[in-house]
Amino acid sequence: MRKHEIELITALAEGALEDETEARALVASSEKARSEYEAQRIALDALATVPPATLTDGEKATLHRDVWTELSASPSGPQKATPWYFRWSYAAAGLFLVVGLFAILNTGGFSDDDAATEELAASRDAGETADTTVATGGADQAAGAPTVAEDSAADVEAGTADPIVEFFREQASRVRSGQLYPALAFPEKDQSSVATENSACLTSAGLDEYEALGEITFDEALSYGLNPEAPYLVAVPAGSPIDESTPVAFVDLLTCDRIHIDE
Amino acid sequence: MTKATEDAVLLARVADGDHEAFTEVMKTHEDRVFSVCLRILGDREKALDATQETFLTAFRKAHQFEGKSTFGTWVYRIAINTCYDQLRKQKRRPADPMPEHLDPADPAALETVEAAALRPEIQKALALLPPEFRTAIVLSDIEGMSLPDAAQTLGVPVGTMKSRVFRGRRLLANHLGNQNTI
Repeated sequence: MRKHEIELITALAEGALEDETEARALVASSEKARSEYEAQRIALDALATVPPATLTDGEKATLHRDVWTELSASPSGPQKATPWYFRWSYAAAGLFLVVGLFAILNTGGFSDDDAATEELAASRDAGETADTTVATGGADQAAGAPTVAEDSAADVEAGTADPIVEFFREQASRVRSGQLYPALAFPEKDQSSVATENSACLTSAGLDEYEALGEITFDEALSYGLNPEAPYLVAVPAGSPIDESTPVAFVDLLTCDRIHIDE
Repeated sequence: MTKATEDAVLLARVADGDHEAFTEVMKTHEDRVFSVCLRILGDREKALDATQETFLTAFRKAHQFEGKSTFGTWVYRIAINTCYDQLRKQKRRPADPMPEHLDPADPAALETVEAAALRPEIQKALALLPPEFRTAIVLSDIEGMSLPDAAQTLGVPVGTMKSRVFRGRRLLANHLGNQNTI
């Protein structure tokens, strides 16, 4: 299914379409579309029965008391922002220290110039490492949950393999050996229309030179015991025969983000 | 004055020990923070703990609130991270369900608690969702947040949010036992 089709089905299930003709026709035309629509409806109907949750008066009173008591008692209670001139004064002090250290090193404060150079290089490297760590943490916090790509990068560093990356690797091997390809192909469409329909998504993923082969569906991912991180579009370089050296790309069909390339 | 600026002023008053400002902030956001935590954690006692932890964190880090979003968005994000922490701890050290935190002699309290209870099959199906999908559904389909607002709260692109909601519902339907759709 294409991103547009998924969005149509979602909007139809939510009752958010003014004109439902196209969406209704889509649902009527394909078993898969009908199944997706029904799943969305079932979930929405169930969620519509969820009642609002509120605190009782007693719970509110306890909450206010406990939070206020803790804040008042704790030395790390409500903190005021550090005035800007204090922040600059820290930076100035740091700069002064670095300049001073540099001057000492250059005036022979330490006898071994090479050792000093190495020390500076090491401190620079340490600084870079710290930056990387901070940046990663910040990204995680901002994103709420790391993406598969972030996960896999972290896994490479940690020497472990993410199950979903393992899954992609396995699927890529099957594509290359011709085992998976027939099963992947969209059952209701010919290959050229699949490639055409998904070319915009691949371009958006930065894979202009690739063409879509088919998709790994929600159910296939689920059958591997993975989170339902699907459907994924599977793509290979356009116009080239598929062999053992073919890179296989996996693209999120909903967001058109490039998730993984197995090379 | 924008809402974000108003929030920043209110938080500054809380930081100065203004009890009235503190009560105003709590009253505005406590039910929704609690509701989000209850639906993510599925347990009233744990949701109460998470709510308390959320406000403590928010007030302690009030100086970091820059007014780029509303305080609501900021505090819900803290709440969700707090709930994720609880889920991680829970995974490491599964605990027995704790008793409900209410006065049994108070019929109004009992009514409030019972009114918030989910149908058991929905509770179970929600609990089985991976946290990112559950949170997406809680914000979008239970709390009624718009996709852009929910995406901002979680700090993810709107496309990712759409994807999580779509897949979360799909999986929820699966867990609700409709095997025909899978």
